[in-house]
Amino acid sequence: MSAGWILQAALLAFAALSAALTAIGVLTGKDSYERLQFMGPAATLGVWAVAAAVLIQEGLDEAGAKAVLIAVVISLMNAVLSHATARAVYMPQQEDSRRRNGGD
Amino acid sequence: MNLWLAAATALLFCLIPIGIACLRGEAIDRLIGLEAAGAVATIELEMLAEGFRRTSFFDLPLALALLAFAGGLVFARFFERWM
Repeated sequence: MSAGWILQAALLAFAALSAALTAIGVLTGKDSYERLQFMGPAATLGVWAVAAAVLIQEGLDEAGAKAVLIAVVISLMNAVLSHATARAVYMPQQEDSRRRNGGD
Repeated sequence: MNLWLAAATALLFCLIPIGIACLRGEAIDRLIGLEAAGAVATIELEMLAEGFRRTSFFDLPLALALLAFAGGLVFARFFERWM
């Protein structure tokens, strides 16, 4: 059992734990904003942990480069997607409250 | 079974609560479940690609990451405008 193997095991366990946290949070979050927030662990920490484990295993060859690219894409896209989804939750609520308060 | 496939199997169980979240609640909460499932499935496919030692399989999570983003964004805009 080499140091690289132990490090990979730790990184993969961390990725699995972050995905489990996301899964439990998405299921048990008390409102939409909280559920959105729980997408973070898998989409930021988990994906980078897997990319680091792939880099340890393969080095910076084709697989390593693709793993890093996937991590960059998921991290950036998650921020944009969370913002768009939070906006989709917020705007109809604002519209409803404006209608109730007599606005047009 | 190597380390990667063991981690992929563990990650597979994380999709169960997300699947349940996709089946209940309001439409926007189901969308959040779908987005979370996209991120977890991407990690899952990445682990499987490395577990089976097929470098070419890494194209699949990359495509999923891009398509899940586009799909989620379209859904979010749809909910914002029409629901």
